[in-house]
Amino acid sequence: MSDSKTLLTWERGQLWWEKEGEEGPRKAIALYARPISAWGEGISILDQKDKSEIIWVKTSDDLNKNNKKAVLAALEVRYGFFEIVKILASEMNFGNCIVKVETRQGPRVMNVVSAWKNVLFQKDGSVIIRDAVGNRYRIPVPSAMDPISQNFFRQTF
Amino acid sequence: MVDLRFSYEKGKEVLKGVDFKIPKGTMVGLVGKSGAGKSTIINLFCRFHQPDSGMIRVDGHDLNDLNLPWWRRNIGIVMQDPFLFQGTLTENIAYCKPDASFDDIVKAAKAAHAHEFILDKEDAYDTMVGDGGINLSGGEKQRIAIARAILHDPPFLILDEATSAVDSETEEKIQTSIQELVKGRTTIAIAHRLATLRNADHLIVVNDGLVVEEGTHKELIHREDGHFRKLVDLQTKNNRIRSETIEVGDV
Repeated sequence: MSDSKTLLTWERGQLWWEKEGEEGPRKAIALYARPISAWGEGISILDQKDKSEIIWVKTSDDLNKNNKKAVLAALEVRYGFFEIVKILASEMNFGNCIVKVETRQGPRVMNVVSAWKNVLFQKDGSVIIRDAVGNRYRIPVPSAMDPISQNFFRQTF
Repeated sequence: MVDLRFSYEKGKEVLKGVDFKIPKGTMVGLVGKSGAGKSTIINLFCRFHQPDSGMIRVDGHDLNDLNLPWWRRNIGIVMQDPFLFQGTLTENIAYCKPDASFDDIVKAAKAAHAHEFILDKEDAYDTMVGDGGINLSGGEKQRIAIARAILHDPPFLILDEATSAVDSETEEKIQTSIQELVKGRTTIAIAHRLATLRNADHLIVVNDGLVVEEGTHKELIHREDGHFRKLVDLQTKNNRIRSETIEVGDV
């Protein structure tokens, strides 16, 4: 499904789409087909109202320059990862795991429940963690963190 | 199938000499009451059992002469309650073709009308199903099984396609994806809802271990005293009673 006749824009924190010669613009959603294992491969742009697929591309490189910019902005907001650089503390509390971390975007506190399904070890060695409210965190190389962080990582996950 | 006879227990023949032909690339619907012998025919076709006597020929070859793993690889099976193993939806679709590209997996999912509901899940194609994963509805599971069969691309297909547990919109989607799937494949379908067999090229009515009637849906429906017509009338009557019961229940 090519994007040659579809114009995508990112305005006021929302992705919009319109087609040449049709009424518009209408609200759209951008989704990764594999947001856990390969988030760069397979991107779907859906109409926000009826969820019909407007564009399907293998990667964002298959979009024209302006559409790509708009889609990447939308994806960044939807899937933006906090990249963990340090684990400062962790505490188990009735099955909830409260973890204080330092991320590239600043300090955060994660509440991780059901670690068996929300801590995802990737084939490339990285780890993706989802917290209880749906935020996503990423540790690119756990063994590259400082020894204290590595120790917390082993104890916690 | 030539004079097929089979019994699960000695002295209790389930198939009593079944004969019929399926032209290559066509869809045949097996119709009959529960216990008539439909599933047994499928089991023999897949070589899960050996017939007591008689023979199944495929392109002129005795089925028993064909290499069993090769034969099984050539058959796709879509059951009414398909098995999903613990893994992602991607892995489940690619079950019979683990080396498939993601692009091919998505194409299969689209043809099976599964792509839309997959994208609706938070983790889309990475969604974990099976033990510990999320539960899919009956209609969703069936569409994953259809996508799996489309990707597998076998020349022979078995459909056990009861769709009674899904809403009419989902049923329509499943029927559309089944139509896509059966194109050009030699298909044997066991249908529990007779209306869904209108798309079959040929219907075979089985009763008490024998083929009692054959023909197109149009031919059989017009045979006033035929077995098929009686089954349709019975099902229509049951559906009417069921819908009246629901209406009374609603009041």
